Amino acid sequence: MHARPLLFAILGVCLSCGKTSHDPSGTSGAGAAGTGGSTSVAGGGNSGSNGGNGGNANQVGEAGEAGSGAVPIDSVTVEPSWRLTNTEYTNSVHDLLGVTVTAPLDPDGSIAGYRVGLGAGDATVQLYHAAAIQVAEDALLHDTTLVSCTTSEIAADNVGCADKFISALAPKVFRRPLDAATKAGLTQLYATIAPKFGFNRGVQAVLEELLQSPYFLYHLELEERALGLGTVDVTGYSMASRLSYLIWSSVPDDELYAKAAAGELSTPAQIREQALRLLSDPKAKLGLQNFYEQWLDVTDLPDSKGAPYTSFGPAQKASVLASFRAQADAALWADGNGLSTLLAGDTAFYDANTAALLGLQTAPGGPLQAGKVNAAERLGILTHPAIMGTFATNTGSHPIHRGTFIWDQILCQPLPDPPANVPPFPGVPANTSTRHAYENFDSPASCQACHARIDPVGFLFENFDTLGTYRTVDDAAQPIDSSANVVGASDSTLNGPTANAVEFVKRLSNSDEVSQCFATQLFRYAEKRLESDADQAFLADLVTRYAQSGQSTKELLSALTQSRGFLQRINEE
Amino acid sequence: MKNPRIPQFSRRRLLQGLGVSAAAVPFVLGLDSLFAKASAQSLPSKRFLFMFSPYTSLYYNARLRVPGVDVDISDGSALSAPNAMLKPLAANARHLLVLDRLSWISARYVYENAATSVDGISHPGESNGMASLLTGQCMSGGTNDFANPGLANGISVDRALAKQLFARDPFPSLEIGVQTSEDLTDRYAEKVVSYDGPGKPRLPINDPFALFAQLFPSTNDDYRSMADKSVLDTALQDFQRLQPKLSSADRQLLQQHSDAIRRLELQLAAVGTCGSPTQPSDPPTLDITDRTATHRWAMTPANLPAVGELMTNIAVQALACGLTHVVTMLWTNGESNLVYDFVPEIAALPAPVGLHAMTHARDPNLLYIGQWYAARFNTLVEKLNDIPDSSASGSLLDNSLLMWTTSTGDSASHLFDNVPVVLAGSNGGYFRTGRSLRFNDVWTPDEWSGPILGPADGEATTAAMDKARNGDQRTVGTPDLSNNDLCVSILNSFGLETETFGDPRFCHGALPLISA
Repeated sequence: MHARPLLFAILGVCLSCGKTSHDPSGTSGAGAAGTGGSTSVAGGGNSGSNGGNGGNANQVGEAGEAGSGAVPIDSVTVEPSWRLTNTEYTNSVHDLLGVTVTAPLDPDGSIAGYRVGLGAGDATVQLYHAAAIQVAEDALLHDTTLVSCTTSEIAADNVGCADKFISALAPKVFRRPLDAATKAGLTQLYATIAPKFGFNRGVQAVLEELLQSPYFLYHLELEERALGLGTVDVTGYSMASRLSYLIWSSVPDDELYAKAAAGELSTPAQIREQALRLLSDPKAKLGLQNFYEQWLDVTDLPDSKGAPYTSFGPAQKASVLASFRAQADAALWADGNGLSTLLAGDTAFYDANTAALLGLQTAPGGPLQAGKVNAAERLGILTHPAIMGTFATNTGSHPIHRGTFIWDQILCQPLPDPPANVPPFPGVPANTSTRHAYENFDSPASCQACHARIDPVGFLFENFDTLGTYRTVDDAAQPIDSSANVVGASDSTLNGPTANAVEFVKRLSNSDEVSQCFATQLFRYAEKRLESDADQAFLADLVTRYAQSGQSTKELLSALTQSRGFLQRINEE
Repeated sequence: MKNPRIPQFSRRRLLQGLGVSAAAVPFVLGLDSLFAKASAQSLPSKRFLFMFSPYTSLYYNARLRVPGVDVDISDGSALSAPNAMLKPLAANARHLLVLDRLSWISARYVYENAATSVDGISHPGESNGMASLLTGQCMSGGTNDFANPGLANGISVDRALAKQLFARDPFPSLEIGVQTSEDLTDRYAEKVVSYDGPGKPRLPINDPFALFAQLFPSTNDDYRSMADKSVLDTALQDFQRLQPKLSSADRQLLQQHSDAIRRLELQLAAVGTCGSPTQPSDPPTLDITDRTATHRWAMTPANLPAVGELMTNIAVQALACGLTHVVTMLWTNGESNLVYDFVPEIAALPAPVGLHAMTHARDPNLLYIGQWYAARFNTLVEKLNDIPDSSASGSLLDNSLLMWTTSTGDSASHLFDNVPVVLAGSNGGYFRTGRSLRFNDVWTPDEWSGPILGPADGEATTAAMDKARNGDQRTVGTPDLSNNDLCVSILNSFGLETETFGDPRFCHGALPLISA
């Protein structure tokens, strides 16, 4: 258990530094790995030179080079053919077929803190198989529009109708035109099943195949691969997928597909224009949720809590997450001040299950409604029960987890893992405050090297119990002391004596450092890697533009589509 | 050039979201590691079959009379001693691991220290043992009365296995009841051992005909078997055609995917031919498609042996066909008061009484009911030993862990100490078999070298009862090891690395001596 993180620490850095196009020799990646990774980030030495070595890398070159032109550039790295994440799979199936995936899928992998589809193993394939059956049965049972022929047309020419079904659906599922050989395979599959089991079973088998085909499950970018080795522009169908999966976590819609077919996803401007269209579609909410639920780490909120909090259950959890999403959406999709509102806004969304948790008057049954929280007690998303409840024990607060979360995710200043020989926290003794118990536990000097930074930030949130309810005495009936002296933040405005979480989140909401971290997190999510030195100028520019736009999420995401990492790929042998 | 903003990534972030199948990622540097998930070891083809029977045998009959803490019993002689409850298992002693002096400490704790257990309230006696059995947790919730006694405060080991290893099985776990009471308005907790989490029990299915229909739905689904083959073949062709268009790294990535599809094809073909499952035979005058009738038949006390036999066959078939790897089988329930008049020695008594009444009286005739259940467990052992394991070497028994135990050590006094446990099968070589293990030395060889306790040997029944009441059965020895510790060993035997299970206050890590 304890050795593995090192691997990923190294892997993460390798991904960010491995053969970039800044490094024609292609050796820096190996060097970084060999020297232990985290301190050695190759590629940075060449930062600023446009090392694109293919004749096609003209898109971004026009935009200028870092240090000499208007828009700084980031790096392009070799990437594998990513498999769809489970969220992408589920959203794609929903948008293509109107079906909800209820079958379980193999858990995603994780790179740079965000979920990715890595290689597929036995469990992956078995679960895809079961899911394809569930989806195909549901789709053909409920959706009559998938088959365009009438019953009598099917009776008259079932093969022709199957051909229509395949020709209409397969290109959407595969996100590119169907080549002749692949189509022949699907036609043959239908011809094997239908004579014995009928038309419906024949097209069901075809749909099951589409959902297990590599053309659906992987981001293949075949047209760009055919352009030869080196750095090439990503356009057309591949760009349509890049856009829709970045912004919607799902398949391109018909309009985007048509733009690809017409060759109108070839220039950065055309791509940006489509990005803005996608960002104005309601599906963009789901796409951004996929990001911020991972960034803010609420995907592990437990289904239940221990005594005396056993009334918390799946229904209340669902309400807490709905409230969390509503609050995040309202902040991030507002016209401006997205991040500062997210961090320190006073509007919460509540229903009958969440009103008490948020300190609001009990709502009548029914959908979420907006209300103002008591700004002396709580503000912003970081005090929301979804986050407070995630970073907590079964029955109490967990200041270390809360502090670590802020340093990792909000400040992008992660602290090293605890050494392997740390004893488990012995629990909070009777008549002792949670804070005091943790202070005792972390008091050795060796612990303080990190915990002097972690714990104060965690203690600021002591006013929130394991459910995220505001309190003034803790679980051992001890009065809460939420004041702490924050030290170690690279943004010095965050350091110093702080009264409580409310004061702290207000400071966070005004911090450039936090804004930079937010943009960096989104970059990691979009690029599926850690940033490298070669990306710093681009990131700095991204942050500036985010600030200049008044913190517009649309501006941030559309600017990300103009990065080299987004517009180009590297073809390897 | 080094930019301070490039973080060292913390363990917590990086491990988040990695599934079980990524746990075996090898320590390889470079981009190749991305593909390691594909070559992660496939899940273990091991199985867990748990059998519960209600408290049936006084301690001096249940334990093996052998000296030493770690004794070879493979020749079966120790099981053949007079009045040995395990006598019906003697011929299979080489497959057994008999555990002595384990306690359900979390149950004991609630019973003796309710005020400081999970929720500070007491919970009715024997339910505690059932709730603790596979969870290692105290009870919580409820109102401390028989109508609402509360439930276990955490997940059970069978469900932990199902969730972590076998979620992809058609049935990640099966909960089977043989006349397990369905009256949930009274002592709910003594009718269930399987839990998804705190207060989340999984009730067993009591109707073998309903269970069979669920496991083997119209087994002549020709479309499914033909479509599976054709669909996967077509997908494999897609993979094949892509290969020349990809980089070598991506070729490797997709090759691993298509290799897994090929293995899935083989597995699906194997399930199709794992034998036509035997439809449960029709009891006379019973319409086996009438669920009301089959349920009534299954719950009729006189039918218990027949129902149990059907359930045993269904459980074995489900395991053999790979439909599941985790089965819990409850014979009745913790406080069942069934009259065992189908057991000849009980039928011969002048006035047979119910089991629960016998346990409170510490009736020595409990021995015969215990032996009857030992024979039922022996049937499971033999059936699994007779079936070769298609996915590994040896028999199904060799790659399984069978466990038989009960809820209390002495139910007359509601004690949860020194509960008899019998394991069978090495689970792929993990457990030492053919052994008797004693986890503390309270009962030394000298103590039992005298007359063998038990009525058939002439000792007065009251003396035997006193021995049980006041002597070793009640004594908690040192070390005082728990069912939590056994659960840790069970998880470890499936390759799940953990050092604790259940309520950590009662867990000391894996059991000593138990592993090969």
